[in-house]
Amino acid sequence: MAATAARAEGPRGSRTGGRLAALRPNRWALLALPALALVLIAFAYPVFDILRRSFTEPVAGFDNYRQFFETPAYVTILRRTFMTAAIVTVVCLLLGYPYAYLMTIVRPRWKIVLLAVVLVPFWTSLMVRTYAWIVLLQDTGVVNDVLDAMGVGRLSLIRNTTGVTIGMTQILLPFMVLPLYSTMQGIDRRLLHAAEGLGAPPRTAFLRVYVPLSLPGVTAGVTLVFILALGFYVTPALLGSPQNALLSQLVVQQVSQLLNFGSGGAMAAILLAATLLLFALVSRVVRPSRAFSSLGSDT
Amino acid sequence: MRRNWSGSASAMLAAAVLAAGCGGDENGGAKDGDVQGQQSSGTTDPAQLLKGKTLTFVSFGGAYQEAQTKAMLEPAESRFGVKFKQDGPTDYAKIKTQVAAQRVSWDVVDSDPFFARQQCNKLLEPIDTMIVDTSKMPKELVSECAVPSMTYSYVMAYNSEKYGANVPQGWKDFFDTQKFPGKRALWNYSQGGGYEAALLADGVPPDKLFPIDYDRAFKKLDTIKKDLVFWESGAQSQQMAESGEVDMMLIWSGRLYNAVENGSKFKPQWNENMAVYDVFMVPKGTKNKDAAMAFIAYATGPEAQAALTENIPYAPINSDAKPKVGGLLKSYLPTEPEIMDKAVLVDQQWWGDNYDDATQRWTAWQAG
Repeated sequence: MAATAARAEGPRGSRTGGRLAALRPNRWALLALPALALVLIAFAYPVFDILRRSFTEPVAGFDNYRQFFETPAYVTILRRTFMTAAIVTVVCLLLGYPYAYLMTIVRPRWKIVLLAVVLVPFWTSLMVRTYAWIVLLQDTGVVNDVLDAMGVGRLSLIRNTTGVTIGMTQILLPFMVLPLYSTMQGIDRRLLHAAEGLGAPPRTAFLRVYVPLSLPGVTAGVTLVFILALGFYVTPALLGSPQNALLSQLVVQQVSQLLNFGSGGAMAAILLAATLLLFALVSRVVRPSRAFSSLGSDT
Repeated sequence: MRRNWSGSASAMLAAAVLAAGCGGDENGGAKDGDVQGQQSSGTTDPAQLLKGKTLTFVSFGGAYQEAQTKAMLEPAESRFGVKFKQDGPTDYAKIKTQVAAQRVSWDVVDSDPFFARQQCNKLLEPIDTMIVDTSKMPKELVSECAVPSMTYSYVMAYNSEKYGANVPQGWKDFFDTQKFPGKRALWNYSQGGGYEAALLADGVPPDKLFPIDYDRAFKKLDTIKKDLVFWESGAQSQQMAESGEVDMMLIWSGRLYNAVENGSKFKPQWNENMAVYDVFMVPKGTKNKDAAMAFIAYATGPEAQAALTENIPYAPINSDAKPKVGGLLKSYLPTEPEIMDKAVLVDQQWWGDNYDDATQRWTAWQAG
């Protein structure tokens, strides 16, 4: 019925008709219901329950939040969590940007190879990858054996921030490369030629034409990597020292060791609130909606 | 919370749920003590209590749970006609959730002893000593809501190649980076022996370790902080002992044995080894309380305890158990006089009473 009504209004439809059609439930939209139900049951409800507990257990009020900010160690760990996520995001961007750029200019066959190299780790268990890093990076490991043979000497590569950064970067790199690549392959390279034709040196053309056009991909990649990094648990636990512990490790301790569901919930809520606040600030500078929409409408 | 909500729903629905048996089970669980007591007044014989029952057994996974399966679960299945479902690893938050929701699906849980003392009668059922015979167990390992399941130790191990003939003699040497240079490893866990090791090194006599003097322990730990790394899991500690990443470490005796079998150059120093153990306990409100007790009776008996040791280097807690083992494995059992005489017993009651505070302080020390 909806379809015939829309057809009767003609190909363009009147302004009001068009708006109504957008509001009218599309039969295909029903296919989204299972996903919606899953998100509500498996995500929204637990988050709500965690928030509720943080204000009600063990006693009603803001005690859990007050205690968090009154414990210097917890505040240190919160600050460290954001710092670590920031470091990993910057490293991912520095590695991912040239890599994604390379993917857009090589032949298709090489493009597949480069893509596979990024994706293969995705299909390997996180634990396996983390233990592999331990074997490679430990003081008596392969990497240090090579460095030693080269005369560099042995470096401390795990149980510190270096180890955590290496491990997290490897896991998160695909989340940077893929959005960058999808944006970059949509950039019309003739614009660079045009800029050069108008007298810009290649470097200027790249910085003033290509880089701004790739910014939506940068924003998407940075957002994804940063948010995912905030929740890391296994990698910092195994590749870092206790001085690299992130907030998620504290939450686990509260919930499964101390059975303080309320306090663990408050920590999770604080992390969530701080993240949302940060992105509210970022979105005042860059519109995140642009980052995730196709580039076509902007050019 | 959930029960209140369903109670305020329509009476028809509630009646239907009760008729379906679900509500009935919950009532049975809530008033477990009385109802079961009356039902079971006839027998305390494990064979009758276990017959036809299905129990969920929970432990810490890995080689340990496999050994328990072979030594305890499978023989009980074939002998008593009981069936086991298994879950793991032991997770205190899950026990709390199950008990709070009155939907207890775990019947027998292998756990740390401090938890059983901390949560006795809150999240756990008292052990029914009419069914479980505790007379052959070391008294200090038995508590109201738990009986020991095996013993092991936190032992100091050192790289035998690095130190040659001049080996570290105890925790004092572990903290002496002048005489014994090199990296050390401790377990990143408040209850993992770190406090005790530091206090022993600082000259506190073994029988005066508890209550833990936090300030004194942290002061001592600070002296080696820059030479100290931490492990998070048993697998990781074994990996450290095998790779030689550290030169000295605190490690579980069983994991050290596995590492040595795999060619590790590490050797145990049994002086001041910390005697620790696991326990069996029963979450409060399980529908299978008596059967759970009956299984615990069997699993702590001489036969099952001997079989466990034949499968994994942990020592039996039943004085009648005579495992047929020899060689290297035998030399790692905390029941060996050479080890037992040098052991320091960790006060699990103190840990039960102080676990939360000690854990928060440990975390605060490490974060700084």
